[in-house]
Amino acid sequence: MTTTTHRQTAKSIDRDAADWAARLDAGDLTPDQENTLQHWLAGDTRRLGALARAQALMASPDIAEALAPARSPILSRRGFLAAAAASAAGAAYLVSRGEHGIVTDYASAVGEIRVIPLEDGSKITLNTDSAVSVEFRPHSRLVRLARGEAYFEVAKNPDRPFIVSGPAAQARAVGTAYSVRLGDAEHMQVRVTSGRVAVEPQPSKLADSLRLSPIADNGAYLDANQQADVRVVGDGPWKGQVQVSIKDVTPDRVERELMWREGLLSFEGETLAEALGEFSRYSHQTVVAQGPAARERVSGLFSATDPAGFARAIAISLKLKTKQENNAIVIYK
Amino acid sequence: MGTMSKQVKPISTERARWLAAHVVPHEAALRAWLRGKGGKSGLAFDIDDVVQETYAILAAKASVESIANPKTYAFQVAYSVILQQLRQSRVVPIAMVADVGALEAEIEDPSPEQTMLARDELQQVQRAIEALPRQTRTAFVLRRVEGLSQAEIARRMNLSEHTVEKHIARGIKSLMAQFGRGGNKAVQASKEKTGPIERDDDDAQTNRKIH
Repeated sequence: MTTTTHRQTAKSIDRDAADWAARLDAGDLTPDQENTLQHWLAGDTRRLGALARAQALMASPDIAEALAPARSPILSRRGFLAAAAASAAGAAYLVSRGEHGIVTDYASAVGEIRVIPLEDGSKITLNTDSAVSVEFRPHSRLVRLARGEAYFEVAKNPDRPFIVSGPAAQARAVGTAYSVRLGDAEHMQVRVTSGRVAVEPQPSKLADSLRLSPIADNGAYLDANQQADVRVVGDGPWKGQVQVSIKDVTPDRVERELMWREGLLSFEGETLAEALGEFSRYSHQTVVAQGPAARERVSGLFSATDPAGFARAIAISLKLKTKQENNAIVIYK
Repeated sequence: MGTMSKQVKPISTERARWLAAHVVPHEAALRAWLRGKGGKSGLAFDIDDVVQETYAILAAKASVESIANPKTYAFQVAYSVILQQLRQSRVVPIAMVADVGALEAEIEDPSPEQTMLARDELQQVQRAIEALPRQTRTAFVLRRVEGLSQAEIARRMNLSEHTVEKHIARGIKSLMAQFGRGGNKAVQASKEKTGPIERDDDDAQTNRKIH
């Protein structure tokens, strides 16, 4: 075997390889192109390597993420459940939104339940101590949930998806009813009562500026009586990724957990400590359960804004005692 | 030209992903190591050639499932490529042969299998892409970040599919060139610069100054 006299440089092979990688990425080759590629590859052993390298660089998820610095938390393409890191870039994205239309802010005070009818016929019910901003754009209806929890009854309009965005992801629907609740900074819960909701990444700044519609294959779909918990992973190899877990909930449970819309809290076997945690969202009155009393199970329907009444009722039915300590009501055994 | 005896095929998507996850993250280390090898042995081989041949061997393998440590494996393949070239040139320096035994310890030691690209490499990728013309950058980001097909990008950007393909090719070229400069920091550490041919030496120089 003699080595070729005019040996092609590695750089020149790289350029050809990039062209082929782009061609292969565009779709199937014509038989002619197939032939040309065959001859090209057979001409020098390095060419296959250069092409493989080009395709590997093109396939690298790390590189894809590096190219998306402006993206606020996204569900990554690595898989169904994972998403890229939350970053300060998210904040910049939210600020820039106002360019597209008028943003209206709504908030509710502690203990207040507020119903907000929207111009498109949709309705937002704000739970206690919650805040949303609403922006109507020509091709979408955007709601940013800044704090708390809200229930959305969305007037159907397939051309104008209704998008609720939280810090970790967004929930998109065309006509349905669902609630979105923010827990601690890294947790968002979406619960669907009817229809279908996509839980998906927020679009990148770029996609947003190009007015691209959301990409449907990059999220998780929720149907009625399903709940999604969206969390930013705090540690381990998936640190910073957004994880979505979906579970079925009974229609009963969904109804019960949405009783707050009537100003009521419904419990069915929750511990007293858990129930008091819920009450704490609705009023400034502090009620605490001490010792074994905290583990007692409670059931029933209570007024969300009357924790003192709840404490009295619970004390009677569970044979517990109450006392006033500073500004707090203490329940004990 | 007549028909070839054996068909050479481009790699599957699956193999591309495997290479992306297991070989690309080590490319900078591999290049740095090759530079060091060349330096020590006083050999002249082209690093880009060796890297291409290495990828070619990994691409042509029927299966990669049995490869427990892709990093070590890639280094071994690269080493075998050099030896092959030496055999063809019929001049085998003693230093090179003596190195064979030490190879494994040397390449297994520095870092465990890493499947993510180093942060500074990713920053360099960002810079490289940011330096591309706007339309090229937009097309490339839409393809890789937003996951749109080339046809879809053509529709949205109001360009021909052919033009979009050109933009994508340009983006790939930029990535290939960027990764072709990998491992420069290690070169700086070893003083010898006499060995391997570095075609992109000017780029390597300017690149180093950035740090």
